[in-house]
Amino acid sequence: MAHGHLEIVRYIPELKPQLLQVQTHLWSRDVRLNDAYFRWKYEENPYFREPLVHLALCDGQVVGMRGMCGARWQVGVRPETFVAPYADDLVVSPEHRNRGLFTQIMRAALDEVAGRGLDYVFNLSAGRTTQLGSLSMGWKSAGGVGAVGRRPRAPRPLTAILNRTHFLRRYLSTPASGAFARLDRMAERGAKWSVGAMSLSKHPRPEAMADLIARLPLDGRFRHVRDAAYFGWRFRNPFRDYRFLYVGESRLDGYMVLQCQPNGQAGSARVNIVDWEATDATIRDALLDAALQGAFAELVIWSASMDAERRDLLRRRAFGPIDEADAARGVPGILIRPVRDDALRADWTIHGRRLLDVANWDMRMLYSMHG
Amino acid sequence: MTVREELIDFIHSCGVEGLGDITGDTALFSSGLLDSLALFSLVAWVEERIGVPLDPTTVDLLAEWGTVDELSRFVETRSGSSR
Repeated sequence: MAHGHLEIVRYIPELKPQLLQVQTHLWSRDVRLNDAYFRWKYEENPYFREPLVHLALCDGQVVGMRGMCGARWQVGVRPETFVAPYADDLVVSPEHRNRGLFTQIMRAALDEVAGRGLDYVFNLSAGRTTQLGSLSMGWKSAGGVGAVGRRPRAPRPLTAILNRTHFLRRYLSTPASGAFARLDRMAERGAKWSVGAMSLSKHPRPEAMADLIARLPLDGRFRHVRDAAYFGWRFRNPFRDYRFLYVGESRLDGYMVLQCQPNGQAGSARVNIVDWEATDATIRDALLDAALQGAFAELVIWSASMDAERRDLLRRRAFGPIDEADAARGVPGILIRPVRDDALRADWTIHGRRLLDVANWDMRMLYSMHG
Repeated sequence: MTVREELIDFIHSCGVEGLGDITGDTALFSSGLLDSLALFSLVAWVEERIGVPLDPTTVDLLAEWGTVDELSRFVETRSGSSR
């Protein structure tokens, strides 16, 4: 068991090389990729000018990290906006676990958030271990995200064999980037989509996407602000590949954002629908149809906060519950904590809306680091 | 062996540093010494005793699992046994 002088400090650039090394336990083994991720998420974040990152040092060496990524939310039909940091990227070197570092780093981060005059922190991508650590520090869950997924239909005997042999399924399924390649090829060959003016791109159209969001009616639930600045930043995550289905020319009538992890990373066979917007149901349907032509090994979307029309559409296309063991334990879910301990026993609200009521959320995978 | 004794044995087996002598009043979370991995094992231990999967988001961990005695009572109640 490791011993030494422990302290919690704010991030300074001089400690970055050590931090990136410690993150090989969480992000990736590739330190250059970790550097790109840190730069995107914390140094180029549109909401925080300075990274809100705390480090645990043992005898001056970085042994742990907790990050708070800037995120701007809105609520209300005449929307009020607020910043609620997204707590993420908790890692402690294996030899320093079970020494209370999780709590100490989190405490320091909450103190700094309080100092910035902010009231709540959110986490939308906690796995089971981080979820438990968070709950033990007073975080609460507003509810699960209702992940549903769809696999391509295979002849029944083949399905039965694949279901029994995860090894075979992994190798016989279409890799995610291969599925994107199929969509890419379809687009290059001038695919006939079910509505005119549909296109596929590898690039976001931040202004046009934000313009569509601004034209759609608001229902007042909590959701991330989706403006051009957000869209311009959001899709530069180096750990993700994206494809954008658009309906419309300069003025969009709909879009869908598909995301996967690059080949070779864990979970790279899964493709996620991280955002999906349209001016009417016909366009929404056409976007889903186009995505299904990718024949992905698995296509997943969060459905808990969807309206009945969208849920019905997904049911008709054979989407069903997935990851049920995790879902039964509330993972992934919407985790929330007031910054100040004296607010832990209060009713948690922002602009009169209860945060712990899942019906008050319009939750999309885009807002989470899963997306 | 009582549930409390089993729980204390289990916490010792997690290799947590700094808890000292573990008694019924020992605070499990405010001490901050149960890191998330130990918590993960703790939840698995609870699930094994109550015989069903547990959604921890439905539990107020600070109030219901705050001390060894509180967690022991939780397990006894949920498992329907009072050994």
